[in-house]
Amino acid sequence: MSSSVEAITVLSSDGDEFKITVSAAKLSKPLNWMLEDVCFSDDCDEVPTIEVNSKTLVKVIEYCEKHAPRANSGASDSDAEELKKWDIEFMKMDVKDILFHILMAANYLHMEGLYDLACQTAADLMKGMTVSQIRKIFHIKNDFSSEEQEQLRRQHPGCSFD
Amino acid sequence: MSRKRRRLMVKSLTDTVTNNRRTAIKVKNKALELQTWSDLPEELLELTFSRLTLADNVRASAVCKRWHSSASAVRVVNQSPWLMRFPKIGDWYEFYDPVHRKTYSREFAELTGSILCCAKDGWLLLYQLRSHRMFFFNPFTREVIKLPAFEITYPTFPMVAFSCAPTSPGCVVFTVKYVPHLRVVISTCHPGASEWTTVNYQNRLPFVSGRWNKIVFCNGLFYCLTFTGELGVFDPVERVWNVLAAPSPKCPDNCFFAKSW
Repeated sequence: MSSSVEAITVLSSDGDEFKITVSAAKLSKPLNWMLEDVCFSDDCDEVPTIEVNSKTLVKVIEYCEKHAPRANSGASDSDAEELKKWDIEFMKMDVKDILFHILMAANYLHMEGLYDLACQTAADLMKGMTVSQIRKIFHIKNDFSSEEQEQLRRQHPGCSFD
Repeated sequence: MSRKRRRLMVKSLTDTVTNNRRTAIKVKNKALELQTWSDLPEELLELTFSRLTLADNVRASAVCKRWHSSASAVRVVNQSPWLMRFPKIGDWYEFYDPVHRKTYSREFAELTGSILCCAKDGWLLLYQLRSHRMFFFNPFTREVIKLPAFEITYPTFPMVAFSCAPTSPGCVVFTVKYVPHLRVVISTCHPGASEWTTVNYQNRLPFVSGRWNKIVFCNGLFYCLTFTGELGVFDPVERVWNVLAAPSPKCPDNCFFAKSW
């Protein structure tokens, strides 16, 4: 394979093939290493697998492709504004099935921008919510005993939990 | 990073199983799909919770046990100080969070007729004029800790300081007042005490002004700096008062710096 390669092929954890352009892959250090390996090695018939499921990897690649031009060349303020709006739209996703895996994938792929965005989205979903609302949004089971819950309430008398 | 090392990293990311790849994937995916928000690695939870305001952080900590430990871990450390503004009229107090540039208002009717003595570790020490009582107040939890009655005679309001949060075991409240005829009156108290302990000390140095504008608690001692550059040191355990001569600040008269001491 020559160094003029424009995209690399990777496998998702479900075994599906995905193509990532070189500029988009640069947003992630591990992907970048993979890319260099593909570009410079002779035994390049081996397709690397990324431990991210297909549903999530589609989103991750979508994010990379959108952010790559700006990350690689810099952009004007209006572009930055447009990208911000795009990020907000992009993050409107299922909390349990996608957002969780996006956060895990961004961490695993060392993608700071996506990682920040996902953390902020999760934090925004908690803002102003009651404890039971947060549990519902994030599908979390309450593992506190009633005594422990009472103790928490006592510790924070100024805070409303409901 | 060397090429060899990079290669290893890539290998670790690469699934080299070929024959039974599908089976391996199925098992792995099942484990992945079963993960939920309560299984999120600690560092990711902490990063998320560190973006929450205090009230949201407290609520998130009540969601489940794992969230509790992560939310509590980042609660204090990442909470930047807020400014509290006392109203000239009324009971609405303003809080300004400089990190999020937000102002919050809260009504504290329980503080009516009280003046602020000092603040530390998230607690305020106030003096209620009507009841002659000093009390601690936590503006986040609205907890009140009362101290025994303490009469303050005007116009010499004493300087007041406390060592640490009143919920900590070693908390000492310290007041110092200069009385003409070269006497220094020091009163101390602690939460749970039935009365104040007051001791008069002879003052060996002529204080021009009896006001200690600044009291600092450090390593178990209260330090009081006077306008004239003397440093009074009080040991609350031994009840010993000493005045040290500190060099005067090299500053022209009436400059802002000297006045702000």
